[in-house]
Amino acid sequence: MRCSPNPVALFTPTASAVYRGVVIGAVVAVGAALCAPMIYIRTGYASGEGDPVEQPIEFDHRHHVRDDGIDCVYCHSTVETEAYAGIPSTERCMGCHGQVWPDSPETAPLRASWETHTPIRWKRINALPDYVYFHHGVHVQAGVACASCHGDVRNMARVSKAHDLSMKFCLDCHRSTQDSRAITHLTTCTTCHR
Amino acid sequence: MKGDLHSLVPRVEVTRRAALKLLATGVAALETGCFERPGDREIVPYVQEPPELRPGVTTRYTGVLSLDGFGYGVIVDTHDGRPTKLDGNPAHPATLGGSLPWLQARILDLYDPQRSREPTMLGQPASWAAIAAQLRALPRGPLWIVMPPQTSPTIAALLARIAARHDLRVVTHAPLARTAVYRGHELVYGRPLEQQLDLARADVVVALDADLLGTGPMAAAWSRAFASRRKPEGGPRSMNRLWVAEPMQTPTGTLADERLPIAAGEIAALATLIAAEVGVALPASLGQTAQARLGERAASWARHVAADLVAHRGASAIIAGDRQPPVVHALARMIDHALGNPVVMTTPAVLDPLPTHGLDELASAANPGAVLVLDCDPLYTAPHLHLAGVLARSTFSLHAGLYANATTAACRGHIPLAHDLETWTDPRALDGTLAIGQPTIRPRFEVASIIDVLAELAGVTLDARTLVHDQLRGQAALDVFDTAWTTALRTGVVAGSAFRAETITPTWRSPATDALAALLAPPPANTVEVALAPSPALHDGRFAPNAWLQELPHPITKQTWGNAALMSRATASALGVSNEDLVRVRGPVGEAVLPALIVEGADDHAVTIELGHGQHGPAIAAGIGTDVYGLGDAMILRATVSKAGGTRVVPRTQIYMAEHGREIAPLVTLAAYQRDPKLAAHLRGDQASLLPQGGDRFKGVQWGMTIDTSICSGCSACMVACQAENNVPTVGPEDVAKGRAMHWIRIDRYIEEERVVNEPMLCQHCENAPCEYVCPVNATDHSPDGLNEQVYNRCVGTRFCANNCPYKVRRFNWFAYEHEDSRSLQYNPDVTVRSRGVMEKCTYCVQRIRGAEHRAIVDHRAIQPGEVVTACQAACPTGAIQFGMLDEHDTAFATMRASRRRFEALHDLGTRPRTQYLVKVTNPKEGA
Repeated sequence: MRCSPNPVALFTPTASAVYRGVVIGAVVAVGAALCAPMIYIRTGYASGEGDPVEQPIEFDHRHHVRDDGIDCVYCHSTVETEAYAGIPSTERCMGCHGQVWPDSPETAPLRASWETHTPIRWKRINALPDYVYFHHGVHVQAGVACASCHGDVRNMARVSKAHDLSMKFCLDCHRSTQDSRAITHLTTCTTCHR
Repeated sequence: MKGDLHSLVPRVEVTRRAALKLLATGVAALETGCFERPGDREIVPYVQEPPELRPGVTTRYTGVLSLDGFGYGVIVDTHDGRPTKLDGNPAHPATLGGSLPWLQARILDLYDPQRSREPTMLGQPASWAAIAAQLRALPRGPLWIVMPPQTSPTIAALLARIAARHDLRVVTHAPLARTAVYRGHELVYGRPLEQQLDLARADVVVALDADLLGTGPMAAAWSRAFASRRKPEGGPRSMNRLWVAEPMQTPTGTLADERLPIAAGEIAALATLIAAEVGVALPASLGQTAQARLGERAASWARHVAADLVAHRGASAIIAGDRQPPVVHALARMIDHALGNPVVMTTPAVLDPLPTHGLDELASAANPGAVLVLDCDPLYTAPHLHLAGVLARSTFSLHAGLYANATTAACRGHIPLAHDLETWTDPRALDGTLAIGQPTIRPRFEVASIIDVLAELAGVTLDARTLVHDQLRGQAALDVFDTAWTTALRTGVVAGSAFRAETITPTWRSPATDALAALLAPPPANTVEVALAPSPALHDGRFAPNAWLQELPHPITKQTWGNAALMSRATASALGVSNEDLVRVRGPVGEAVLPALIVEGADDHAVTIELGHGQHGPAIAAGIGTDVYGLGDAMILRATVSKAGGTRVVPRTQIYMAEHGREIAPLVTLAAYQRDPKLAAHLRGDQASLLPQGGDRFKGVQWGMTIDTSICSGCSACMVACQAENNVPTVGPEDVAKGRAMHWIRIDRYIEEERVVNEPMLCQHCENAPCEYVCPVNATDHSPDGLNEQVYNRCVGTRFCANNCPYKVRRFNWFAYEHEDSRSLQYNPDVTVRSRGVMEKCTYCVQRIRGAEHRAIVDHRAIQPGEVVTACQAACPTGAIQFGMLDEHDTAFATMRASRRRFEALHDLGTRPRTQYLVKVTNPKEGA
């Protein structure tokens, strides 16, 4: 059969535009699929900033720190000298609560822990990856306030994470040339990674 | 051999659909895995805080390990109640702060998942209480106890109480027991005595088939004393001279100034000749026989030794090896006496130095009654006695061991033995010093210690702590006892408990002459000497389940995972074999087939084979190497050796040992060094370079390491210490053979004829580090204090750095070698556990440096010189490794760094390494 001298157009005039749109759209979609998680994990939403966490005991920092004026170090006793700040033992809590609110239903899980000799399983708010070694003592000795990383815990009912504690968060201070402590040499890898 | 690791990696056929699923999962994992949500992990504080424990802070306790009865004082580092690292206790006479490979590796045994976990009786699970009840109710009658030598006074007291209840026969059994030493001393002193050596006072040391720096109950302490006399920079008496005669090179032999390769069976003749030359009154015929038996080279060597000994009268030490026959030890004491050497003889610490009952006696007992086998494996170590028969005839049999082994199966009952860190003990060191071993962890399963078992037999209802405590109280004044007990636990030794020297002189008597004449008789024709030797890592085989020790390269042959027939090049060519060819060894009792390995410096008339391999017990030890206990019941055998056909791979970490004139490990004589003290000057200092030199890259404290090759015996304690400190994995024999061993520090060995140098090789922390230029992701970088840093979480595993490292010290994780079973409890929490695909290498123990910095900041002070001690430095028994700040003064590190022997390995590359070495200096005798 012979070809028609004036064939019917296979594509409409808009087909090229649609085609370009689809190709560009596909590239953008793939790019977005790759970039979206990278952007997402950098958001405070992903790291859970500001999300209050329910604890086994309704412990209220506002009451202990703001109302009663108890210093952070009374409970987090190794924070000034050691790597770990320390979470108070049941015994430390019972030191006061043996007498203060001894019958309150709020402190019932505490008394249960003491009586059954079962530790309280608190939820961890601030965690670093296993390959990061952080030392609380040196930061406190250098005059870094607890609130710089942990936020305004004295005004938190349930404690939430104040910062994402990413490597960028650390370097923002460590690289700061404005900082009078001159710690820019403490940006070498083994300061934190060993 | 177990399956190749590659077979463990599943082969997956990935379809396109599966690949897309994996991609989606990966993106999801990226999203959720990078950040934990608050509350995902828990914090579980104590209910009541133990007073001495702070989370994340290392707590140190004293402890004691035992080997063949002798105590080795250790300091136990614990993290949150878990012991993680051992080091020698500086206050304990057997270690003086130094380590041995097995001492470092014992921490792994504590968490070994292969350990026997539950008591059994007749193959059924039982409880310790039930077995203890059976022990208490044993009928009065014959009771055999087979155990290694013991030194504990508590055990002595319990045995006395058991003897009052039962017809007790204690069989002291250890393949490497020092019975020959005690018998030898009995020959000349009339009773078994122990010699207490002071190598620091000896100007001339003669080791006759004695690896005094590598094995034996005082190896670490003697290494320290010996090294104190190897300072070529000191005054005229600062360098001693070491003469070594041995069939196979040992760590001691690598440090020899004058070394004679000689068969172990010829040592008696050599000692006779030396004795005759220095004036020991021996029958003249013995001297002539000895002279006739030795070749001209050995005879001349003996005369040179004798001349040197006479020139240093009263200031020498002659040591015969533990496996040498008694009369050689007797001769050594006679030589000491003739030279007026200050010999200190004491009571032996061992309870039963000349065993009253032998294993053969037990084997032939018709009605043995009850048989208890504690902490040993006689079915493996004495196979020719066929003890299974007597165990079957017994009315009751019990095996107590850390692992289930060949003996376990032949016994009715089995009880897991407590590890030394899980129980109370009180062993003595060789010099009698008592140390109280305290548990540093509660046993993870039901175990009993030897003291627990003996207490049940003695009908004593007290626990081990009370028994040890009361035993010590019986020896001390009561009013001060509580302080004494606390002090003993805090310092790790009981002050003043060493034995006093006996005033006694040796006399040569006719039984000694007869014994010596018998030894000097010519050996049977058509046989070759096969000298059995302790394994430097596995000892008599008791440490075979320990992967760190299995994978520890042999100090001389660099073999891992197994043993071989070690022979000289001449012996090998006479047999028509080369490396890894199988040979058949026919001993007086049995035979063995194992690969040949050529060792430079081995004697041409002896084949050396190490014990402790070829076990059938715990998983990783099973089938590794060849068991040679069956060859005969002596350490020095006459055997026939022939080519067997076939080969077996010998996984080694170093195959070429020649330096090819490249001055990588220089060696000079003392005389040459004194003539030209600047002879190392061309091997250090700046090189012309286009790269930035120093400059402002380096700020503040600068770290460096100096290693004295003069006093490195190659013992390899540093390698295991590094493994324990830095969570370094083992890879198995197949991967070692492929060059994938993971040790961060290795001991390179250079040997060309008489020149032997041990050179510990670790990351050199080059100021111009070749690895850093080639990393595409900046995962290796330099710190302002001069460390070459490796950042695991940044490494993508291109391995460019390892290829560009001229020292070949970088290690790649080809597989996920880390473990998640109970061994992970040993991991140092201050060091990242690496996984597959990551490069790693020596960090100069950066966790210890940063830890010291943190302590200094908290205390508002500067870091003190000597405050940072690396794991290898702490373990080194000779103090060859020193670490410190480049600007410190008046420390061991500063003195070594200032030495004119200092050189840089591969100096011509201009890498400016921070790890530097001191040239090896030997002190040979002029004209010898």
